Amino acid sequence: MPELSAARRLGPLAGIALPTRVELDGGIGIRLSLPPAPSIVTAEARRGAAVEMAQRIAERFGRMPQPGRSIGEATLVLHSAPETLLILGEGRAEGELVAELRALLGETASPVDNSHGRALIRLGGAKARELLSFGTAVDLAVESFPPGACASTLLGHIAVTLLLRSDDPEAGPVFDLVVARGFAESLWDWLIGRARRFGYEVTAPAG
Amino acid sequence: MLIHCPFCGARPSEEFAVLGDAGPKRPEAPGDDTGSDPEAWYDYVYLRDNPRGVHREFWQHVGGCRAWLVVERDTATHEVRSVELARKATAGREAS
Amino acid sequence: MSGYRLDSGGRIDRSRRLDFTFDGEAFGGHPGDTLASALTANGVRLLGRSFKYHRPRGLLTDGPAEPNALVELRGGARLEPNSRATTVELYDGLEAWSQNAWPSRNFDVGAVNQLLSPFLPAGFYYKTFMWPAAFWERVYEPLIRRAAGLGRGTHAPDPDSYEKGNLHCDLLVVGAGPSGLIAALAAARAGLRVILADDQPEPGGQLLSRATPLGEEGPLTWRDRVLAELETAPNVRLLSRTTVFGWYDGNLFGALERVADHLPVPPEHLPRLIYWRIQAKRALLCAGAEERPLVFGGNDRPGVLLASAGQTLVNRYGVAPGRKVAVFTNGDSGYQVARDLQAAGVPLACVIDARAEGPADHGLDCRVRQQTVVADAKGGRSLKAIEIVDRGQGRRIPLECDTLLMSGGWNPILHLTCHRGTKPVWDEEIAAFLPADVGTGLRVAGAAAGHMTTAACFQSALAAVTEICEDLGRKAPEVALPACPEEPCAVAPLWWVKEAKGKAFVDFQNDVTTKDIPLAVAEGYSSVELMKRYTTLGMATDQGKLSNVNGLAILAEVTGRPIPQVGTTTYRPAYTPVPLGALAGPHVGAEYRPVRRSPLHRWMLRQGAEMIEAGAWMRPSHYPRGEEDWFAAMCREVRGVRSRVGLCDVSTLGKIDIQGADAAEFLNRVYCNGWKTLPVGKARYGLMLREDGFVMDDGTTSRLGEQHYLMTTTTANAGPVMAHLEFCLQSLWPDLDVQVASVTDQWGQVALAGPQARKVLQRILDDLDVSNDAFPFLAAAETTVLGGLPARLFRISFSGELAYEIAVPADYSEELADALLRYGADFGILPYGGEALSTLRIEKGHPAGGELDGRTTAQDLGLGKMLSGKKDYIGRAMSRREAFEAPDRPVLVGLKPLSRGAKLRAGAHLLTPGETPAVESDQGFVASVAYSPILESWIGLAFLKRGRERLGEEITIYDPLREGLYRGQICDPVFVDPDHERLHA
Repeated sequence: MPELSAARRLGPLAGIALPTRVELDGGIGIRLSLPPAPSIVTAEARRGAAVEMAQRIAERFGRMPQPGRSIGEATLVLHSAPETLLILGEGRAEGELVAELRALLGETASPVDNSHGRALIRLGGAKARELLSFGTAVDLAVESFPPGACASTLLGHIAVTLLLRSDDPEAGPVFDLVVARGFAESLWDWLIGRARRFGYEVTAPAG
Repeated sequence: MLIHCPFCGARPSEEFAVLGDAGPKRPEAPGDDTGSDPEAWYDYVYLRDNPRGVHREFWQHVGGCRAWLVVERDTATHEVRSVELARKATAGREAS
Repeated sequence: MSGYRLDSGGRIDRSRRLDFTFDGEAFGGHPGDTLASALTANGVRLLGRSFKYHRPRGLLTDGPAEPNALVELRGGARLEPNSRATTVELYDGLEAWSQNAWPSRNFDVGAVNQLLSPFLPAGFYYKTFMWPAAFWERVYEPLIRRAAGLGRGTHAPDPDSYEKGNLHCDLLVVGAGPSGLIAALAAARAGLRVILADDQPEPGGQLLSRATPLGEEGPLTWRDRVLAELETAPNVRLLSRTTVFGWYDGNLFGALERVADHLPVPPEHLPRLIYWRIQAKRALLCAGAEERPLVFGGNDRPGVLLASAGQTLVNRYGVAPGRKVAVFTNGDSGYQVARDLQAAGVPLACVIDARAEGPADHGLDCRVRQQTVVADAKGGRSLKAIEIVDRGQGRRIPLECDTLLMSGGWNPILHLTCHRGTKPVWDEEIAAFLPADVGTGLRVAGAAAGHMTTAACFQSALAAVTEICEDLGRKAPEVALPACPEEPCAVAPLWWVKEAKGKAFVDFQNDVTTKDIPLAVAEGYSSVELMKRYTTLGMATDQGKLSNVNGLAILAEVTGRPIPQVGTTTYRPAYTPVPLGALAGPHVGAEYRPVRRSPLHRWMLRQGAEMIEAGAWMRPSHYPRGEEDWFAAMCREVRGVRSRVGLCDVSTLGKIDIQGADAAEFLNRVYCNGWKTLPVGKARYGLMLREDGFVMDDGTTSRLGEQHYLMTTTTANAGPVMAHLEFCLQSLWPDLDVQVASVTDQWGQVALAGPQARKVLQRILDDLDVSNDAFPFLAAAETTVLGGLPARLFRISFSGELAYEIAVPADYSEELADALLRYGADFGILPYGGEALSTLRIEKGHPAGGELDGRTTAQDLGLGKMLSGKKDYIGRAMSRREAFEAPDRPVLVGLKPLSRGAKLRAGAHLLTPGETPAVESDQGFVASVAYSPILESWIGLAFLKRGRERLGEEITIYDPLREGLYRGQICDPVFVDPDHERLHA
């Protein structure tokens, strides 16, 4: 099969998440961007194979993340639900990540490609935690939600998985929000509605 | 009300959907019609306890990890006594 | 004129003037004022009329318990009735109107009720407006509402925005008075995450109202030092203008932050109010105490106010409450107020103490009378004089004064501790209720716990923080306490001055007097809850914050029971009123609920689709051309599909990926038909029952690999079916090796239907052979289209035509749809919407929403043969119930009107011709209807008793709501291509 150009992908927020800068009192509290053409895979362990699945993950990534935690860099493995992983990648060809995971996990899990079924929104800035607290009851304070932590929750009535990628004292935290594609535009509107309170910038072009 | 999801931690009840009484066990139903007890089926499908006090209920963390849970809850005080993954709570349970 | 601005003192900025109007009259105030303090400074005393008797009323309190000074604030769409003038921060341009007075508060026609008052006792409305019942809604209620209402609302849409948010902390401190401040300081030093919430614009609580120094410094100097530390501590969040209004299960607290109510209009980017849900590991209630009014004749005259309100006016707002002020007290705290007024240069008339002995060294220059009570206050719209009774000498003495401050003791503000059902406990020493022990989640300190001196408040707060630190495994820090003043705080209960001649008000807001309570008892309403409902004592916006304790003490006396035995009414959230806008939060208008969009949403809009809501989804109804209405567009689209080819977005159908060694066994258990024989590369129609035997959902499931299936569900049931499958796997059969995952959003899916469908399809496929032999009906394949796009192809049909469904990863959906339009152009391809889809499926007799309504069985739908007899499955046992097999159950049939042009309506009932319409003669009902442009007639799917035996029979269609009676004919539900030749073409 010839490799597909990522340029053929038209993401759910194409034409909606356009570069914008809206300052509030000269400041920007929120930064939004869309990682282009993300790869998103879920994998639930086969019955009775959760331990083996964890071993395969540990062999490849160093360890199996605890519930609600993640591991990895270019490819991130989130322990997002009981015996279930959510794997995020960037810059991969169509179908590449799911194929790689099938090879890695073998008979231990059933990977499912949802690269097009989920939208990935990157939310950063000094006010990112405050913005999210308007939507979710998850305690995002760094004591309970350190870098690498993830949680599936409702954000303004929309089911999302939150991941704290990093937390820089200067630039503030960077979260990834994974949301069902159909709700991506509603979630984007919700985010922008709140980002107006802090000043915001949308940087990456729509994927 | 907060429910302590064994996987996600404490979350407000809006993230969960309740199914109800976790007491009834699905009766045996062999492929043919022998041995299927209609009374047991009526009990399983229709009869539910509705106690004032401690009650075991099925809830799903539908706005979170989607796990089905067995929540032991005091219906009078809303105190949640314990929460287990349904997979663990029902594993090895004999059908009646 | 009575009140006036003092030359100095207070937390106001005299260098700036704020203009405002009250009832259209212009006044000036200063930043830091409330509407109440500014009006008092301007000598305005009459602020409104009372609820029932329309008596003149003025300011009573200095806070949220205010029962009298309720105003309509702002105007137009922002009109806010029942705003308490005591909590309204003054801003430039503020407009307020008095309530409950017509034509004006100075001349109020309703005041005639005062003369009628002998005829308006408690229970008057219940007794008078009883009969006839038809009058309740049409006559009595509007009448009562007009006569006795509080403020008016507005019908205009609310222009402001509202928000909801979540906060988390180790310790929530409610109230930033001295107790709350020291508790927050100690907790912050212990490293706890602290939220300190206070309803005022600035922290300080009682410190703002008092002049007594703390240690060597003024109370606010001490506060400023504490505040400076709290403000810079990273683990402390201060919430000003925030009322914690409720305590809920799981130690959740509801709080309302007034972000912009102190501004004329909220800034565009900010919400007006935020409803915070605070999840606190521990909470400490430091809400202070509420002073009680004394109950004597005319105690509601404008100019009679609480001593604490007078003290706040002087010390916080730099306003003298009057020019000749008397103080009536039953405890020591009244003396301190008098001293503060004296220090501020406010002329005092007299201190009247009901007790035989007061503090020896009171330091007052005015006369102090012991064992004396105020019997009656005189004056109409403003207090002119009082009559006091020296109980020692039995003399009634007139006394001139324009202001009377009353202090009847203090009620701890313990409401939060009662919100989860616990009742407070009576305490003889302070003659008030104390909060009961409600566990470690919520502790109480300071005046809210009954500590009436600053020193005791500080100590109780630190002791509570020490316990909280222990609970949370922290070490409590040392906190140095300032030296506190001597604060005598003895009090002797005085519930009711029986020497009163005039009306003595127990509840100001509801006009409940001392006469109403004995009346309630005499008429049998002697339990406190019944007394409340009969007299209305404790109802409305103030919820009895001032009146409840006096009321039940009088009830106790009248019924000869001790106060603890009378008990209290039930305390419920919210502590102060919470606007509905805040409860709705942002979920109005476009944010009412999230919308789900197909990956082809924008493509469909570009094709001119009219979109409609279908559950959370937006789906196309039709694609009008030119001036076409939906009906014309639907007819054109149906003809296009039946004669040529059409494409339709079916991305919204639920898609569930099913993998695992036991996947086939699992399908066998959740569908009523068999799955063990389905080969790879084939699809099969599946029918899913609920455990009670009724049909839950239907759809096709395809086998993609040895252990890999793809299930489709109806759009509406995608969520419930997914949850059902998860329940089955996790709760019923945890041993099955099956993994399910929703891939609904992963695939953009298009149905390509019509005699030319194959020809169009062939043009986009990369290399798959879709000839009828190679790819027959119900074939399924994973392939590629358009030069390498991964795709899934299914030969399934909802329309009954030769049809395929093509799915591509959603980001490629538009490319697929564009290509189909392009390659199909010379075949006359057209997009079709939900209306055409519905007509097509009704023409083919396929059940959908109208037929799968949760009350139909497989047998009803003519699908009884699908019920497998060889396996167990969900719903099996119950689907064999006798009633399900009863021969006269209504079953699916087709229906045509006898006269060709007649329109059918869903919901109409079916009757045997000649029968009178009645429940007994009901034969069934019409489930779905459509106009068939192919048959040029309305057609319907209906459920009819013994329907399958009655094909060709005439039937009466009864639709009393719309078209009455007309006639139809029963037919086979498959109207078009009954031999399914097109399907297999």
